[in-house]
Amino acid sequence: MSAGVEVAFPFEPVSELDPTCFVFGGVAFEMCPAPGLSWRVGNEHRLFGGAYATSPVAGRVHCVVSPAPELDTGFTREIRWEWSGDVAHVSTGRARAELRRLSPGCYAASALVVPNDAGCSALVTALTGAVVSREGGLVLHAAGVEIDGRASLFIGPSGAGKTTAANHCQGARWMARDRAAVYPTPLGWYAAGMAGGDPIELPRAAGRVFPLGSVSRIQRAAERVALRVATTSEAVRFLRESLQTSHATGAEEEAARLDTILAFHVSSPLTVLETRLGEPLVSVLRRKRR
Amino acid sequence: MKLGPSSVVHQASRIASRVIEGQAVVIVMDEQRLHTLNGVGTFVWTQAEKPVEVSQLAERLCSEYEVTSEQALTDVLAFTDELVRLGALEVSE
Repeated sequence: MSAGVEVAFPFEPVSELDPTCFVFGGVAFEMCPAPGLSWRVGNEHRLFGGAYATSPVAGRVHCVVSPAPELDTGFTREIRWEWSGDVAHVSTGRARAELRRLSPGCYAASALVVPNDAGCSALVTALTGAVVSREGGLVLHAAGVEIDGRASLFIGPSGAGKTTAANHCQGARWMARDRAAVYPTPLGWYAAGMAGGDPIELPRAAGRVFPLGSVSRIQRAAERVALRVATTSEAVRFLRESLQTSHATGAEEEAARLDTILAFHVSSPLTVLETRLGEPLVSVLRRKRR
Repeated sequence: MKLGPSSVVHQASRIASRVIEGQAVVIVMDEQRLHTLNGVGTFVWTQAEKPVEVSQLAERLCSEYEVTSEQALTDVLAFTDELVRLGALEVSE
């Protein structure tokens, strides 16, 4: 029996998951907080966080985090990242980071964060966006459900009926309420829910990351429920309008984003789902998969 | 500034575009707006990748489509004017 040495653990444990090693938005994080920094992301982020290294991810980030209370500029949805070669400067209202791509899918970061839940959550969201986009993925404004182990995402402008469509998937489980990352892996495209959004009246999915089944642009229809593959130019328009992007973007990055959208549509064609209030949708989505 | 036949225009620097199924998709980044051009618009757009006079654009349009030179110039002036207003084209000094 070993001698009883007491080790002080400076981080506040938040769940059964290690709070410093987790998957969020399809990115595996290993956070190394400065001594004394109580690393804890907000409830919404915990809800969408998964166990480390259990699913295909877009990338892995090893991040050293230091507290910086002076960064607190209040709530903002604005996220900026700007790549210059393999280095990106990432910022939000409550966090800043320098992110370095060491090799495909492998990153190191050094971050300053407002030392509270909101600051830690903001940092994770911002790093996720930068990594997913760099690895050829997309962060979409989307609601999503899990059907037969695969993610079906619904996109469209605010008020289009994304949440309503999810609510009409009886028998499914929700996996994203407002945002989801989709990204390519050697096993195909995967989807991971991200924080935020309105409640969905379905049970919650057990997992956080799923193989991508479909992405559908919601359109209201008076007559019937129908699903069709979008034309390429529709796909570009619909996916681009649903993309959550950095507020600081260069022309090259924007062009690369168009190429990512095209690559996505080639391997996982966007569909247009014409829906009517009250119509069940699971059978339509299953038919598409066959 | 109203464009004339001798105005020189070119694609703006803060745009991203791709031609997809014969239609140019143009994103004007500072506005975060996406525009889809029809076939004729795409022809004019691709010709403006490098600085070009509006009158030259009209001539090239005439050689590609069945249209009178007067009509081509009128249409190209209106179209380029609109793209300048949207921030997709810039006028060379």
